[in-house]
Amino acid sequence: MSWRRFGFNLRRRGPGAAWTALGILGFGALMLGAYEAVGPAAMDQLLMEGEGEGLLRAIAGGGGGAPGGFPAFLALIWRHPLILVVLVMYAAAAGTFVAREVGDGTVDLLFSRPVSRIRLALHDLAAVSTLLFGVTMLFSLTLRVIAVSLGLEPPGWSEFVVAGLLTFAFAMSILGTSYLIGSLAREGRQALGLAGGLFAALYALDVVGGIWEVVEPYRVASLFRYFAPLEALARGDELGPNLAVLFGAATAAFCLSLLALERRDL
Amino acid sequence: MAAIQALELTKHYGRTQALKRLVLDVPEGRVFGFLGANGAGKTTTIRLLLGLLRPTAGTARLFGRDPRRDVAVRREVGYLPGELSLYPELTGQELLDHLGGFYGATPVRKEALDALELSAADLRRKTREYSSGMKQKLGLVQAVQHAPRLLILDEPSRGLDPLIQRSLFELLGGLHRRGATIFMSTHVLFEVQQMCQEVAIIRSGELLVTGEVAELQRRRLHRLEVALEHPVDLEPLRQAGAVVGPVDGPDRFTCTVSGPIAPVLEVLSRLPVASLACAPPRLDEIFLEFYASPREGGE
Repeated sequence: MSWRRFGFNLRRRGPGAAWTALGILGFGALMLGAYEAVGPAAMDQLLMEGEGEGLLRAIAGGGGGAPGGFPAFLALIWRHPLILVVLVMYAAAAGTFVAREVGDGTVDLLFSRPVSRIRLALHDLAAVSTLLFGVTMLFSLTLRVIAVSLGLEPPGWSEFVVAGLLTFAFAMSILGTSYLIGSLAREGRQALGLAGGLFAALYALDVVGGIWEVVEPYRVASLFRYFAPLEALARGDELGPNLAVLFGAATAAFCLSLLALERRDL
Repeated sequence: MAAIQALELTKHYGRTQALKRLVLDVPEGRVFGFLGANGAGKTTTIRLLLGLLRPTAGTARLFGRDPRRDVAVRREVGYLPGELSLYPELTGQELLDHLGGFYGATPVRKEALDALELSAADLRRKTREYSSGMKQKLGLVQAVQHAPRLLILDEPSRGLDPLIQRSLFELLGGLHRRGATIFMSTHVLFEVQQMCQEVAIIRSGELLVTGEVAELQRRRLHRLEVALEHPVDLEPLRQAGAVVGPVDGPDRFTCTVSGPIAPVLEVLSRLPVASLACAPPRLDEIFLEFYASPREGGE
């Protein structure tokens, strides 16, 4: 491991991570502010009753029906499409770095160095995953700080740490898949387009599966199915399997991406 | 030992044959020009040599080692890409530090910066603010800064003004005198003539010829500058195989001969020749001869 290259990659990827953190934290804070302003009981009634209940439960994620209350609202923040879009965009953009180096024309400059392609990819992965860990944990723990400061009664620190870990696992699964796409695609825009399309389809599969029984069995194929913050906040039985699936998918996709990277023309 | 070896190196992109069974041997310590028109296969060859592309067939060797499997051999190589793109968010200094960090020491950096007139103030600026000439200079510095044994330069003088070009040649000459091998791809024949001891000419992915510049000049073409006492019909010269032109007045002309020169000299001996000079052909004439003719048998 070259700490110098690790530091360099951190500096290059850092601004994007900072903007991602700022974006999702700002939105999370607004959502908590709205919850406090409307009042927990009224918000609960607004969200979990009526015709939109099923859709909201599907967006909040998880295998079973989401109960009402503040944890369900927190899960809704975590899985809100805006939060997901920002997080997925950052991970996908970072993950498709090989294709983007090809598209930007900088690939010759980097990959002609006396270091193997795999090591270059690992250096990049180390930096991006460190940043993703920082962003997801910061988001999770700051949500709790804001909730407490607003006089709300969130679950304990450890529940938020676990939820942050699940968010990190989810982001890593997106990152790993993006690495694979980036190693297969010809250039950056093609890779980003493919990644965006794939993740949009997987998200739709998860949400539609949550409200339509016919599609429900296929939800297992969606990474979003395993990103169930409510399970994490409640330390439910599915938390362990969800973490295993997400980290497993990240590892498998990244290993496949290394194979593809070794074999491809740059 | 050969610095570069290409053994039947072949590259296909789908149905397009970008490179066809290229055989190349560049001994250590030489300055080697790799000539060809745009799209001839020069950059593909270089990217195969560096292991950026996988050959369809054949092998590439740098100092006897496979650059794809044995990436450490690239420590001995400095490379300037033809289509140079830099990281726009980095300053020149950050870029040089980052790329130099792969090698440890960068003993030639200061010398190269001075020769190419890149100041400390220039290096503090983001590369997105650089002109194309400054980018090329920075690209050259990153290629030479670690004093590599082999320099692979794809169009090195692109975007440089004539003064900086001269400084570049002096810098490269200095590195060559210290033992570096220089492999230079270009279609600017003047710089090859200035720098190179040996050349290879490639067309449509096929090697047309390779050899020493002086040897090619001697063997391939004869260029005569003729002044006559009075104008005469030059058709007999053309029939003897000479290409006549450009005519400077009615009694002065040049006469280029590829192949046997004896019949041309015989015709000239019957003409009222006032003066006759034999100049070595310029490299561009050799190049154009190869490009104009059908596939040569090579050397």
